[in-house]
Amino acid sequence: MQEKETIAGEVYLFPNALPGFEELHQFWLVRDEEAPLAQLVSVENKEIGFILIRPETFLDDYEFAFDEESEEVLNLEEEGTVLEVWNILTLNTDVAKTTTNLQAPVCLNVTQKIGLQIIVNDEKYSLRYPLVKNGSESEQTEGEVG
Amino acid sequence: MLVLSRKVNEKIKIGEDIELTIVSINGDVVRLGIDAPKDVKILRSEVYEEIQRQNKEAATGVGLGEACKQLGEMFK
Repeated sequence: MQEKETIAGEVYLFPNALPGFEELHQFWLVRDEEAPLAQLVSVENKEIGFILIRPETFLDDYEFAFDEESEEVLNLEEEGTVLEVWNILTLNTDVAKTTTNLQAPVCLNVTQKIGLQIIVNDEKYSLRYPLVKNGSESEQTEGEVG
Repeated sequence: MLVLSRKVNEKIKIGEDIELTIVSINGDVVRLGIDAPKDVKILRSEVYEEIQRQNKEAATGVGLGEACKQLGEMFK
């Protein structure tokens, strides 16, 4: 007997799982109706989930190249493939201290429901990019890795 | 492990397609240039571990919906 919660979302296959969670290959993607956010919840372990954000929400130019393996895993070569890029948020009890991982975006082939977390080989993209910049002097983590 | 000594601007060839160049040496920091085909993944070794750690820190199961709502407020 299968216990399935009705989560209103789509299931994505992550052939390469996620770094740190190498045993998890299927995730629900639940898009937020209003905000540029989504939840990524493990099908195999509902205790594990992430909140994703669209980078264009706060970055004007976020560019990276796909290596050949990534292109293959994501099946990007097929015509008409829709690709979406999201970044994982690291939450904080103080919402203003939320950061996002720009160094390892989650790329989704929406057409075929395949996902892959890519490691961007560019030191300028931070693992913990703050979503909210303080006007006064703040802990600037931009450009640094940890 | 093969250990070689090189000076600035000297190079190392690995296999047919990969070449390393010592771009500069500043104190104890060596800048390496790497010429390799697109299908060869090149990472500073600690990067994968950092991503693993960051994912683990970011993972949350309980209260995802709540957190999403709170964050959503930021975009209104």
